[in-house]
Amino acid sequence: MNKQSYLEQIRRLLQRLPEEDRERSLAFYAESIDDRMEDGLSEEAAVASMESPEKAAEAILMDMPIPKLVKARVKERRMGAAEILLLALGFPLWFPLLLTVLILGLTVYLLVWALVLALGAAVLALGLSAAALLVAGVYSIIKAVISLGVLNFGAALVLTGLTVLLGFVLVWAGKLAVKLGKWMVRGLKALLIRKEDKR
Amino acid sequence: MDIQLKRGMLDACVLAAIQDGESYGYQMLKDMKPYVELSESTLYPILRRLESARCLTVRTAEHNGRLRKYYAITPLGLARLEEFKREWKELLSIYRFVTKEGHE
Repeated sequence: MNKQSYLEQIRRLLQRLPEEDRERSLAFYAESIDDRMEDGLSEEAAVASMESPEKAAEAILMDMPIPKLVKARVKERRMGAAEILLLALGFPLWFPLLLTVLILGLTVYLLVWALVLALGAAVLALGLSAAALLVAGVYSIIKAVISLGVLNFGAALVLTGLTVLLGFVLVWAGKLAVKLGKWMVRGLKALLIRKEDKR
Repeated sequence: MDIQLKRGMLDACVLAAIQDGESYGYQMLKDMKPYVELSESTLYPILRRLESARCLTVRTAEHNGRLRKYYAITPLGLARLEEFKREWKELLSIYRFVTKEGHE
């Protein structure tokens, strides 16, 4: 395969993308082939040392934001009359289903963040209580109520410990929530790309 | 391997490939090859991600009658590289303990 047909194949696989994105990606691959040839490879060998156009196109698509992929998918669909009729008749069925799935996914994601938020509120409350007890302890000592002062300091210590402990859990939960979000985005992208390739 | 972990490592590889001066795509792949073999499809998204995170800048220059893109590291990119090194130093010491023979 020569450089021209290699790039042409990728271009065809990316035809539904906005031209700017497509050409920018293609320029990167073209530059790499040119550099390989400058390095002493023949044109055929340079292209052979690249990965397949399908793999290149998939990587470029996975890198696109979801709105662009959805747009590309809609743009690419050229349906026959029967297909449109079927889609219209089936609307009461597939639309609520699709909406349910999307909202369900969103709900799970929001739920996870709600938990993180609740945890954060708990950490904040514990931290503030610990600080308040510390102040109360100092006040008690100044007022020479030693027993109450010691009690306050002790409680402040326990709450500080709990704050730090829950703080770690909070950081961990936050990271997990971010990971879940990224994983969901990747899944949705993969779904959009795979359906495009089927036709 | 954990995909997020690997992604962070590859980001660091790419930043390391330009830490001593700007470079271009194919040169970076060649420099990394003895250590980690990347393809264009792996490198390209990383470069775009690092560019939008302002860890590197891109300029286009003419070379032998065609255009070539050169990538240069930014102070933010250097800071990220330092952070990566610090984190891995910690992990390595844990690794050394885990693989040590004769635990008490």
